[in-house]
Amino acid sequence: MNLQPLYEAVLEGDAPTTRTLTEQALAEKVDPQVLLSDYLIPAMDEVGRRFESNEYFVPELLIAARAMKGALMLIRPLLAEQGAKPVGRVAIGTVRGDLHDIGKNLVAAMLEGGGFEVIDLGVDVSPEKFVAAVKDQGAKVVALSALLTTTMPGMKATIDALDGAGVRGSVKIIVGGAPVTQKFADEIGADGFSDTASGAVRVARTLVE
Amino acid sequence: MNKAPTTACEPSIWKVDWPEARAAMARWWNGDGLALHVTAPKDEPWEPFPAPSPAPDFETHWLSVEHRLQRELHRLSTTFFGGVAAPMFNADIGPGTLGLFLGAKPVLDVDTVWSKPIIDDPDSAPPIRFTTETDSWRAYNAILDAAREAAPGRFLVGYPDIIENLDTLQQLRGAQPLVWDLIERPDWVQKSLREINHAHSACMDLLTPKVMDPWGGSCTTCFDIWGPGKTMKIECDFMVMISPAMFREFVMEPMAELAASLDNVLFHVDGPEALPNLDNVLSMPYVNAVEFTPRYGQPWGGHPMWYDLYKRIKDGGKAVQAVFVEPEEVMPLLDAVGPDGMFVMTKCQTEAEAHALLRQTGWE
Repeated sequence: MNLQPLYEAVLEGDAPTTRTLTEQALAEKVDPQVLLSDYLIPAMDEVGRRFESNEYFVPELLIAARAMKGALMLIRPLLAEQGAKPVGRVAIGTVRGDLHDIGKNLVAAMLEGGGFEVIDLGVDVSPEKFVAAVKDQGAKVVALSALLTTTMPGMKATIDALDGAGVRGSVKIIVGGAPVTQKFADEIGADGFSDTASGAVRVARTLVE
Repeated sequence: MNKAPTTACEPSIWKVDWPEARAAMARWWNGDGLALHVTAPKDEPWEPFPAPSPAPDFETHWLSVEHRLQRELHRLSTTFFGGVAAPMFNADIGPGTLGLFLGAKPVLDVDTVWSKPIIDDPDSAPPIRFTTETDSWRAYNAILDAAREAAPGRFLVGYPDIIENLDTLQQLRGAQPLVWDLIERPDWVQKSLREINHAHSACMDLLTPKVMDPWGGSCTTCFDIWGPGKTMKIECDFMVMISPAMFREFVMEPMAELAASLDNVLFHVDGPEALPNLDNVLSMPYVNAVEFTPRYGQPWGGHPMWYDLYKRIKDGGKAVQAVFVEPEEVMPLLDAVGPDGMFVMTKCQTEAEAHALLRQTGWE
């Protein structure tokens, strides 16, 4: 079966076609891991590349992520049956005091599209909730988002809380958001920084390798 | 104590060169001349207005008429306004006042006011209409009216940071739902933007008589701009999320229509992520000038990395407002891009330093 149209359907954000082609492929016994690794994730990587080069913008990214998610819903149970594991488990949230969610949602969508299992903690997330996600849900990466300079200290507070709870050594922390810089990330002791959603996936992949 | 220069026939404000500033601003809106905006702590206050105690809560900080009045009287009376800088009272209840007037629920915070969306289901939502029956309208007007009463001989009272178009719809609907609406309900978005323009117009009809000054002009405090007639900043921060094609489809026409109803229009471009849409902004009719705010963490407006951007804006036929420029960056900036059509905003440490800079640029 020619699966290139599946790649194209995700790229174009065509959710019905993505779902139909995924169903057809699975009916024809195509390995779900092949679907994921050879077509769906590369399609989302290309979405990310286009986003970074200003060919795609937020709407195009979101509809591509939606198409990808539809395929993932079909594939995930089969991958679980095979004993396949996600690339990594990420707990993501906008830090305490910050109600912005779209940047965080874009990163969550791209991480999911990149093969990660994502625990979305939402917005205005307290350090304690991040700690609980690591301790109780086994997150190996914590992704912190902030849109305001006034809420950026919430990132440091979260890192301190992870440290205080004795779990800092078992997680990698990535930070991002409009006012966040590499310099700030270094200052607060984060492990990674990205200023784009697709860049966050690359950073997360590096950190979990 | 200094006195504002007043005569029997000429009203004044806390600024000795106000006539020259008005003339410079009138030229700048047409792309001519330099508009240098310099502020500094004033050696001697215009009038003794002590700083109020810190507000005990956000409610007082944003909504207490007395506290707002005390805060602004202290700020303005202790500031030297040089060049085109003029004392302008800030009565804003955060950015995006129109969204609040249209019913978005304000969430008061330390240095901003958030909005809670109110449109869950566009299919069943009533049309967007302006009404004076909201708490936000009443609260804003209470501050505005108190400011107007205190203003004569002291300061200007301008339009609020009203905001319009997709940014207002985002306040009412939420950012991510609106992104989906652009794809799935384009007709509803366009209808809503037309309704927001009508609401903006209705709001302006009530605000304009309150903010027009004795010199036949008006100002928008949040961007420190004054001009003859109706003078306002417009923006579409939402444009960082959409393609130039989508901007043309949704934003251009209603924004141009709104701009046409004003006399002097400054378009605020927020950060490098907005620059893919700069050509669209430059092609918009009725927009006189473009302001660019660098993103936090990047060099501010006087850095050479922005010179080409300012030249591009000027080549596009618009005047430029450069913000957060350090005093020592002013002359290199003007040498590099030329003074014509440049509004350069800087803040000095002392009044003497401000006067030196004004002399250097030929203002004094």
